[in-house]
Amino acid sequence: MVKSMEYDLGEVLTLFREKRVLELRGLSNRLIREASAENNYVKAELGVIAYALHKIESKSHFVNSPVWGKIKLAVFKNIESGVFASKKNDSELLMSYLKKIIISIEEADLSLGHYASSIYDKAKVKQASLAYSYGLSISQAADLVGADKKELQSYIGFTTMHDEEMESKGMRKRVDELRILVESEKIN
Amino acid sequence: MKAVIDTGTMITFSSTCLMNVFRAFVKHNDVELIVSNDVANESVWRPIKNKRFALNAARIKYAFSEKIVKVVPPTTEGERYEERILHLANNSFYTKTGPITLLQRGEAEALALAKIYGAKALFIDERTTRSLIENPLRLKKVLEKRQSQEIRMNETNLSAFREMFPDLKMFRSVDIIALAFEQDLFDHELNHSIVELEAALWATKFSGCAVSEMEINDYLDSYRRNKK
Repeated sequence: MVKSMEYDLGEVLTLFREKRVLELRGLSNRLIREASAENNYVKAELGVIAYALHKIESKSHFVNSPVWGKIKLAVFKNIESGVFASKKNDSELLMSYLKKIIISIEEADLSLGHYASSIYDKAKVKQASLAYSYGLSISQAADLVGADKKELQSYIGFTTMHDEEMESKGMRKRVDELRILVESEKIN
Repeated sequence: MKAVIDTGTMITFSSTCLMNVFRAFVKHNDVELIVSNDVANESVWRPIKNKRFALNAARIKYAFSEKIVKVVPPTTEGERYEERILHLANNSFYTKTGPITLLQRGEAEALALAKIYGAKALFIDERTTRSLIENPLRLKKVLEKRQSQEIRMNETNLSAFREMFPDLKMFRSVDIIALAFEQDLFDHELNHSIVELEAALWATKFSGCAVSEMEINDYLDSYRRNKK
């Protein structure tokens, strides 16, 4: 059963407030799975936000920083406003609050992050790879969460995803087919 | 032979520094390689402005300027095909809540080009587009397993989609590299030995080409057996 956005936002708010980091991650995965099935860009965005919040909350230099403490209040407020927008079925308004949360995450990352690539960008790639694992094409998975396709391709290469399902046609067969094709085309 | 190449495959060759092997393969086999304007944008003109990806993009740009790959402009006919491809592919598999959007414009564009130019091959590294044409039942199983729910197929749409490409064969960058090796085309970049082949295949896998470890090992075993 697919949950409503209002319910999902409420879940994100509760888990984030109560610092239930692992559950926040699990929720993010569920949101991405549902977004992949429904082609739901708003749900996908919330899935990436939940993942980024879980990531931030698991880093002690973020959690112990007064900067994050202050930004966190803005995130709470915007999730609550998102619940309100969702109740009104106003997806444009909801997206505007989600964007504000993303800006807060980026702001925290800029002040406290240690890496050149941002937590939010990494969250997009990570969750796009999940969407790809659910069967979407690389372009569709990248598009759903707004990830960079090249980053996604490279990330997927380092996972075991392609080892999990057997190809219907193995490499030997494909190589032989390619040889036959190029040779026959040369003759023609 | 006419062939279309997808962005992902171009990126695999450039990011693994195997563009010279690819170039040798294209020339040796008289492959007339086509990409769309959007693929050019996605693999060259956008990433060349990004410090992290600029070198890869520059390698692909060089392949364009050397006429290894021909960039073709968009056409009304192409756009019509793209729309049809997207409609059929994205209305072929259903969950309880509705159709699953599997493909995006990038893949549809490559397929539309293959249709318009009568390409015999599509070089594509990602697995969903390939499965849709070659083995949709496999894709259905993957979707069901991954999404933990029953997936329905719209046979009419799926058949119409597959009938658009009755003779189109699909190959990945690993397949091209392996054949290039068998054709002795590695000397443009690497020594001709199984060590280099294995390294090139693994680099390609780590770049995101949809190939399993088992497939690579099976291929290498078969190559070694045939050499004896």
